[in-house]
Amino acid sequence: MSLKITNSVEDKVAVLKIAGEVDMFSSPQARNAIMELVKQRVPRVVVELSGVSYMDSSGVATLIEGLQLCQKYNGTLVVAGLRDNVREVFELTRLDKIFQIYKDVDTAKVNE
Amino acid sequence: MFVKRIVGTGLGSQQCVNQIGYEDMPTTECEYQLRIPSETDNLELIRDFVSKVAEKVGFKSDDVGKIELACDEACTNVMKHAYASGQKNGKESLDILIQIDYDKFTLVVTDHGRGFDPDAIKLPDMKEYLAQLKVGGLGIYLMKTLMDEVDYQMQPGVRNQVKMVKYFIDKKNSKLIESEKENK
Repeated sequence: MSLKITNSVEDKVAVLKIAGEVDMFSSPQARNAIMELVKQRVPRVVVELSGVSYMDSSGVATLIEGLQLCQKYNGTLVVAGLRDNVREVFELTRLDKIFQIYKDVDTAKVNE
Repeated sequence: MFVKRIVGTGLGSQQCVNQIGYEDMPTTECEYQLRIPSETDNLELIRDFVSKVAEKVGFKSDDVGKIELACDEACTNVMKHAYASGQKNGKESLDILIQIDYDKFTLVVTDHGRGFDPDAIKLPDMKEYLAQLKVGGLGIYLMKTLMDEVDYQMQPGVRNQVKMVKYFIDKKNSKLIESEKENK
């Protein structure tokens, strides 16, 4: 099933809200949305994942690629609102050591 | 689309159905089978099937999630590698067989694609992986981390299978508890 994705950019911070199940079928949609923000060289991208009920390694790979691309122009990509099962995927792959993870968007915005 | 078949009636039954040819298949109490086109938009349906069976046989939600993710990664590998792109052409299918035994849940994913040499695939060194921020290649690592056993049988172009096992009793924790008892 397709993802629901919305984004807003304000004060150099983009909030990308993703909802649905992120797998090999749907992750290209998330990738395209991140790439749009990367093209605009938005300094801080907050990916809000509270609506994501499932994520596999293709979703994780999409976020890693986004982080890499942001870092190339000295930007950053952080994640917020992870559900327990999605957080577990981050922990299993030790990506919790790489990504800045926030409990929600407001916290992610404040901790610039 | 999927089949449930009661194979044995109790513990120790020697009756075994081996429909899609996995060798040395253990005695099986019950099995569920799904044959589905190898298309990425079917991944959600595959996950639903696997997670509902795992729930039904009594796994807690944490383990259901692990089985679901391991199966997704195995099927994604088939769609990406064995059958190239996972694009719709209606010709390629994969089989998912779940066998329930008194002590374990066995998941067998079968395809008839190109296969690969599982020994040639090194598990990522996660330290190096993270240092270089590599993209992709985590599927087999996750499968091996999430399940108790993962085993491949490859016959490229004929039949490739990955068999994954989850025990109903967490063997890793049981061993820990046993060694703690021995130390006391």
